[in-house]
Amino acid sequence: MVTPLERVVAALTYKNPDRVPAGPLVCGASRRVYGVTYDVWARDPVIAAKCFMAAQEMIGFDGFLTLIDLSVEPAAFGQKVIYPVESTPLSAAFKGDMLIKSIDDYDKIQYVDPKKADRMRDEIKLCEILVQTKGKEVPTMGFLYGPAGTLSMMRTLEKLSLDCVKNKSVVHKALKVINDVLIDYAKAECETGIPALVLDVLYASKMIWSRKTYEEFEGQYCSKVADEAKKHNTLIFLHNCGHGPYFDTMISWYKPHAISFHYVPDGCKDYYDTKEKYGKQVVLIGQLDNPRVMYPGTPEDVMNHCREQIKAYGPGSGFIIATGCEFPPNASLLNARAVVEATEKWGRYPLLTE
Amino acid sequence: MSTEEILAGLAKAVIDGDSDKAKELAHKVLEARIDPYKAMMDGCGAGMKIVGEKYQNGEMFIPEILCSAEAMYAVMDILSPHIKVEEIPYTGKVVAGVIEGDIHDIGKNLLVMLLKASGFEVIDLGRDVATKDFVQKAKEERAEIIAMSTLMTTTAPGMKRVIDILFEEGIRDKVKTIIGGAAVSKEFAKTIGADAYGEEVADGIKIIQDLMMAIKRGG
Repeated sequence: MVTPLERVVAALTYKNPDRVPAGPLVCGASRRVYGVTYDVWARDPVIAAKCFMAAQEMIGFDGFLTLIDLSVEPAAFGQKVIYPVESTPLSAAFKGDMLIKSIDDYDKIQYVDPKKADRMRDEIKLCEILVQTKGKEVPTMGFLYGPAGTLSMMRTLEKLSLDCVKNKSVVHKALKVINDVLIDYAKAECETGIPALVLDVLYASKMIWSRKTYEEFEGQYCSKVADEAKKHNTLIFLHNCGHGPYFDTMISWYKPHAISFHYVPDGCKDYYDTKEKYGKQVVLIGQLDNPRVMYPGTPEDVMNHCREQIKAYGPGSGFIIATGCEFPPNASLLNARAVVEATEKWGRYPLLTE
Repeated sequence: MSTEEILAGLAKAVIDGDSDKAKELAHKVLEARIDPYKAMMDGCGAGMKIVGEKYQNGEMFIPEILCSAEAMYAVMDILSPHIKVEEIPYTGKVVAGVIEGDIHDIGKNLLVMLLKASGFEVIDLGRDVATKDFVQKAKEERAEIIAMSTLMTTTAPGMKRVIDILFEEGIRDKVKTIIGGAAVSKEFAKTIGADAYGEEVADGIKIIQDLMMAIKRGG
């Protein structure tokens, strides 16, 4: 019997797996399978690992993504985090309690050892447990939020964006320190034996920053994080759930093995155009629509949505069907299962369309 | 400088995000005794309209838009005390906010900014807004439209609650609702009975303008 690891490896090497691998990115939603609240799941890596494994067993997806939330990295620098009982933890910066309240506060960003920072240590532990327990069958993808994203969680995107225009030098100084920490964090995650590390590079999106701004304030830094992971023979995957992601820019800076995305890349018209333009350069992971289908839809809607995407992206392999962002933490788990069922029904290689 | 030159200069200063130039021209508006409301709408408003279009077309991005907004607000600070409220033509009133439990507000802030530049009166409730507060404020202000956004599916059900409260208060037919944000969709809007869904900020402006026209026509 083909294991999820073998299936994913086949897709990553453009060989035909038994079927299209399914990765509905079940992260926070896994807490409901094991029966714990969000705040517990997000702060206890042993419990989180049990949740991930129970969800994988029940739903049958083909890989773990150890995304907890986007405040893991900023918390290491001292940013306060809010832990709602039943929703995703978030940086208190959004409630006005930001670590960097003024330009002078950028100096608060100091180097920290990722292995001693509570939330980063938990993430490393989570990777370690999943790799040790399930690593021979199910691949674990570590997760890391890029330096610009991390900084915005301590300043807010609006203020950071203005600072990038008006106070460039302080922003660069902080990014340099943050990136040094992220390089060591990537190293620690890779040392657990994860086969792939996912870098979240959200701001490489046409609705957020220009290519030029992105390259100046994230590309030149985060590419060093990618280089560190590659030293450990860890594959680099990118994640960008913004509108019109700059695939060309992302590929040029990071030379990733795969890109996980929600919306068609900048310059592409649709699924087919995306496959045509980028399908041979990077493995495509996506592009199931959370707000339109995965959250409000029925399992039947999800299966039809998957069928459409398997038809467009499946031929020639190099494709993992997945939600464009984390599976909605409060959506019906039957919708996650429907993704796997769709691959069993319509995603068997050779595909009927081939 | 002629009136036309000053207004064109204001529009350009806003597009360029040049607050210093915008302030200089705002003072010229007063010196030249140009109607300050006309300067806001035909100068800054015209500039922000182009900013919105450039954002939609991928020619401007969040940092540049925020600089434009700063320039516009700098002009507003100078001109607003000289604008007589009774002389402002009524365009419509919108209550806007991010739904309870969510604090991601950049999309909502861009919407508010562009709505104001389009002449709407906007009551910005901010983020993490209690569902009942949307309805309460719409009642108090006699607003025609409630605009809600969220980036998280865990908070999206709050949007339906706002619509339920409008029914409970007996004013559902008087207030139109529009939703937006990365966690929601046209399909979700239909499910909860919202009047409209805006995928992007520029869509939201156009839809709100259309909703307001429909309201004025009695629709």
